[in-house]
Amino acid sequence: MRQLAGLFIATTLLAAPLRPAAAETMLSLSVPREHAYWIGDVLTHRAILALPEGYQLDRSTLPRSRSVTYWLDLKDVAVSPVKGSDEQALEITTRYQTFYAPLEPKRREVPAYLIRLNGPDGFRDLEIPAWSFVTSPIRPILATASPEELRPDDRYAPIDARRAQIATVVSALLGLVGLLGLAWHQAWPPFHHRAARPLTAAYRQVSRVARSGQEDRLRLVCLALHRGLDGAFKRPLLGADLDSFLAARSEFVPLQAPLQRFFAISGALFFAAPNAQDQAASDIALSEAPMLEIVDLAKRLAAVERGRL
Amino acid sequence: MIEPTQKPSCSGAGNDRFRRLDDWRTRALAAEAAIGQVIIGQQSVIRLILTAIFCRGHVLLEGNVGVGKTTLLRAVARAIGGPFTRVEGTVDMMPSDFLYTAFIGEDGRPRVEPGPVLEHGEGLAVFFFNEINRARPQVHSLLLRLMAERRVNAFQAEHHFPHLQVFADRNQIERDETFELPAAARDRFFMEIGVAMPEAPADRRALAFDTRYHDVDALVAEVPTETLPYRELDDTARHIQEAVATSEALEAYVFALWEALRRPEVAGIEIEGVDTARLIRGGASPRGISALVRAARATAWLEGRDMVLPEDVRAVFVPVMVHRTFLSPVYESRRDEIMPALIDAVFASVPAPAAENRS
Repeated sequence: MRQLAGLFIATTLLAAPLRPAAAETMLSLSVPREHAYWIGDVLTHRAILALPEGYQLDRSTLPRSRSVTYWLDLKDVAVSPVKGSDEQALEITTRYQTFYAPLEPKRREVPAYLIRLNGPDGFRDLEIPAWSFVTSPIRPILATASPEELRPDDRYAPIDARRAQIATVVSALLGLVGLLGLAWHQAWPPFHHRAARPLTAAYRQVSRVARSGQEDRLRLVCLALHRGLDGAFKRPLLGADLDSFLAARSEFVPLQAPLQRFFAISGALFFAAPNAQDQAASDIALSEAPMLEIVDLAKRLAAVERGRL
Repeated sequence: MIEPTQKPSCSGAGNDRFRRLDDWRTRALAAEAAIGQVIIGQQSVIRLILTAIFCRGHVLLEGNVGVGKTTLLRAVARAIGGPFTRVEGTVDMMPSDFLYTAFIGEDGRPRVEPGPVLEHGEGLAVFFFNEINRARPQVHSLLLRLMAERRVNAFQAEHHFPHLQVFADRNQIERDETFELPAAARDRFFMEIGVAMPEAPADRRALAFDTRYHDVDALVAEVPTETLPYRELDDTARHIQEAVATSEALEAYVFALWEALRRPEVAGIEIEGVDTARLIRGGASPRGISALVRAARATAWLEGRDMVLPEDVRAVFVPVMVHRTFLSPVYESRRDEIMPALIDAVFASVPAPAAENRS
């Protein structure tokens, strides 16, 4: 199995003078993995060469298949064009076979070799660099290992985590309190049995609608507050029910007069004769007073509901 | 800025008709107060009867024996004025007993004269049928025509009673020898008003110990007569219906109530021990809803408004709609328990004003 190592080397051509364009030859190497070789293993090395324009490889400069050293044979050399490459690119594959029989794992180096490129401006020499690998013995390891041979442990360096622990606990507590508060505010379990706050929800809607530029926002504001009051009364609250509502929810008694006024406005807006409604609508267009009254009433009702007034 | 109408806007409109309506309202409230002085602890019943009078609708009173139904109707009849006739329902009564009185004349010959309905001619204003459920269905049938068309055939001629208003009462204590009113006859009654004993202890003590209430004739005589002239009531009722407005929002409200009463299961109404999908057998007719709207208009007018509010509808819903709503036979025996729960649930299910009201 090969270990691929992409290595881009920008080499300066050795012999030829530099020219402004096409001065560099791109060399990419695919070196075999570094270790786990035994005697007789074959190692394949690839060098991919992007030639400058007009240059060609001088094949006579390629290394020959031979016995490189007493322990290393170059089995064969192949050159092939790289498919799919826009530029003129060649792949030089060299297959070596190692016959080195080490007594212990040992790094061996495969020597570099030179190739020549011929071009319009003469030739250039390019070195395919040396590379190395670790070969291992195929006999059992005879030397016995002892604990003393192990490198000593690093010195114990205690880390003071107390601050981080305290910060974690405090953050967790704050998060929990926040979550409980949110659950209570939104009436999620286990606070879902808490009394609903229809008037608070109504106030939110009232203020949102009041800020909008909708043409019929007074009607929408009235409807929102009606629904809030319905929720507080736990059934539709009509104007005639106001006394019984205030008797049941005495905290709203201070708002009796504005509530009566609200029902009167709402009655005129929704239940007056159609021509009277038109008149009311045009009157309202001239004055924002009813809208402000209702928004203020909704705000005060919500405040009473939340026990803040 | 809009100012809600607390006083009828028709006042000051400069229109004679509206001025007359204001005048009529003053008289109606005066009559209500006068009757309330005589019939104590029945203010809501008196208001409902006045509402029916100004809608020209017939009224069926229902309640226990001795709670003052007859006295109340006599007092109301006195306030209306005009010819008044009263019959007692009996099991052997025949329709002809309404129309003819047969007797032996001084000359010893049998004579047939006009009966209770005909004896006052076409000016008959109040026909009071006591214990209506003791009469047989044949009698109910005649009454049906009298109420619906205000006319009967007798002596080979048709007699018309343009000002007639029928009041009837029945007691629900006895079931023996009584005949339940057919659905059609009940639907002809504009309102069925339950009369209960006065709630306030002071009122009940007065009724027991105050000698003023022991002599019914003298008591009824205290009511000023003809404060609500019967010949003008038809016109007044028509003018009230024209003068009091109903908005789209109110139409939507009434329609939603109607739907909820007709199909409670669709409105999501649940009543313990009742399959609401099988509860309603019939009723809640268009005629009933029309009566409801008329009664609501009259109520609004009596309250001094020129527009109908949802509370006006609610005030008359039970007397106008309940007796027109017929339950499946399996539930009819529990009517007294189921109907209040149903009506309560219907009103709890319909908000007012509602968002979809906006056209």
